[in-house]
Amino acid sequence: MIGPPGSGKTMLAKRFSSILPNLTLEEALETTKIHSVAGLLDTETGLVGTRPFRSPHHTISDAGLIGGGQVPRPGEVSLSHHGVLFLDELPEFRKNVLEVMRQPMEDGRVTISRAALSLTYPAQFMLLAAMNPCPCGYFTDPAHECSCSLLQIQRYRARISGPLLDRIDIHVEVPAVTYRELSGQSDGEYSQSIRERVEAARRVQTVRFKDQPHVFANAHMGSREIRRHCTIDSAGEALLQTAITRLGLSARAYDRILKVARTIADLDQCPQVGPVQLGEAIQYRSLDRDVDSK
Amino acid sequence: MFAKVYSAAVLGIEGYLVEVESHLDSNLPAFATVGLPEGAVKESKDRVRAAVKNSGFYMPNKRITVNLAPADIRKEGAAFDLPMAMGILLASRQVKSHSLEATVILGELALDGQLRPIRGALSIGVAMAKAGMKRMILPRENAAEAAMVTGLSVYGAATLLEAVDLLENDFSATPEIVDMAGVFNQSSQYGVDFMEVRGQGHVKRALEVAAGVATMS
Repeated sequence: MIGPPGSGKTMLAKRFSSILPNLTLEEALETTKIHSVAGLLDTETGLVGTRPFRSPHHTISDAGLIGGGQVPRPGEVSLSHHGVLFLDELPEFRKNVLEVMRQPMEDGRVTISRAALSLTYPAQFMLLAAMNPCPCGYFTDPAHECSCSLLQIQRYRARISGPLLDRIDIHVEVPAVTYRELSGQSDGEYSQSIRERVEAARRVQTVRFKDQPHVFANAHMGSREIRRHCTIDSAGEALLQTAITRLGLSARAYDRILKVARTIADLDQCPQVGPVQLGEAIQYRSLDRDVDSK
Repeated sequence: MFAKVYSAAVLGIEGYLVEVESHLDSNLPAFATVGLPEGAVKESKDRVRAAVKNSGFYMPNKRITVNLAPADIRKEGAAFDLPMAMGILLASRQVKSHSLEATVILGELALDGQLRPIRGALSIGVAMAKAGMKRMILPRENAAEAAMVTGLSVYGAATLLEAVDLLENDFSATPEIVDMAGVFNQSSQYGVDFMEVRGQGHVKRALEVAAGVATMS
C-alpha cells in the first residue's frame, strides 16, 4: 500500500486478518504453540483463535524478525504464522532485515542455526507492507506540494530490492481521504460479507487444484499451471500487450498479473479470465512503473 | 535415597520428555545440578531451596544431586523448579506418592512456594500425550492451555503445597476441563471491522483480492 501520511494504510492493514478465512482448529493450535513457546499467550483463553496480526517497528533486527538467540526463539515471521505480518514504512527497514525474509516467504518455514543447535519454526504468513510514495510523503497527494527531487524519490524506492518486490503480488495506491468521504455515511461492507466471498473463492481454488499435490491456491501456481488455468481471450491478450509495452512492465509482472486476474475471476465466480479482470489486475502493479511515467 | 519424576521441555515448538532424578547422599551438604543446565536451570537450586523451606518442609542436610536426562541436550528455562523440588521431597521421604508413573510435573517456583507460569505448555502437552503420559501438573495459569490436549488429565496448581497435595492424594481432585469448541468460537472474534474504514473502496477490494490469492496453507 502506497499513500501519503494519514490516508488510512495502517487502519486498513489492521483489519486485513478479519477478511481472511477463519482459522481451522488445527491451524489455531499450531499458532498457539508458537505463541506459547514465545511466552506471549493470553493465559485466560489459552488459545490463539484469530489470525495473528504482527506489526514490528522498522528498527527491528534480523534476529528479531526471523528468530534468534543462543537457543533460538521464534521471531516475528513465526509469530505471524497463519496470519498477517505488517511492515509499516517498508523502506525504513534495514536492507539486510528485509532480505532475510526471502527464505521464509519462499518455504513457509525458517531454519535458524546457532552454535548450540539448529531449529526450524513454521512461518506461513501473508506479508502486508505500507510505504509513503516519497520521503516527504506527499508525491501523489493533490492537496500538498511534494518537496522531494526525482533522485530522492528514486533512491527511496530503490531501498526495496527487486527480488523482494517480486514476491509482493499486489501494489495499490492509497490516496488521501476527501472531506466528503470522511463526513458521509459509511458505505463500507462488513468484514464478514467480504470474508464469505474470499472463502467461496478459496473453495473454487481447492477444487481446481485437487489433483495437484503441491498447489493449494492460486499463489502456488508455477508457470505451467498458469498456462493451463489462466487462459485469456484475444481481447484480453491485446489489453495485456498494450499494458506491458506502454507501462514498461517487466516479464515477471506478467505471471503476477495472470495469477491475480485468475483470483479476481474466482472472487467474481467467473470461469474465464476476461479483459475486466485483467484490467483490474494490471492496476495492482503500480510500483513496477517508472517514477517519471506517472 | 533416590526419586525420579517426569518433566518436559521444548525444543523449537516440539516438547520432549525429561527425567528428573534426585539422589541424596550422606556426604558434605551440597546441591549439584547435572545434565547440561543453562542459565535459569542453574539458578533453580536457590529457588528450590527457598520454596521448599517457605512451604513448611525442610531441605535435607545431605549431598543432593539432580540429573536431568537426556543429559546431552541443553536444558533451558525455569520449568524444572517444581519437578526438582518434588524429587527432593520424595527422595527425603517428606512426601509419599503412588502415582508418579505417567505423571509429568512442570512449573517455575517463587521463593515463597507460589508457582509461576511456564512457556510452551501446549507443545509439551501434545508431546506428552504422544509419549504415553496420563497426568500433568503445571501452574494454574497454564492449565487451560494444556487441557486442550486430549488423552491427558491436566491439573493446575497455584503453590508447591497444592502440587504436593495432588500427588499425596493420588489425584482425587477433578482435572481441568476445557470446552474446546466454546473457547475456539469465543476467541475467534475480531475486534475490528472493515465497516469502520471510510472510503478507500479500491484498497479494500485490493485487500480482498490479496486474501483470495492465499499465500498461506
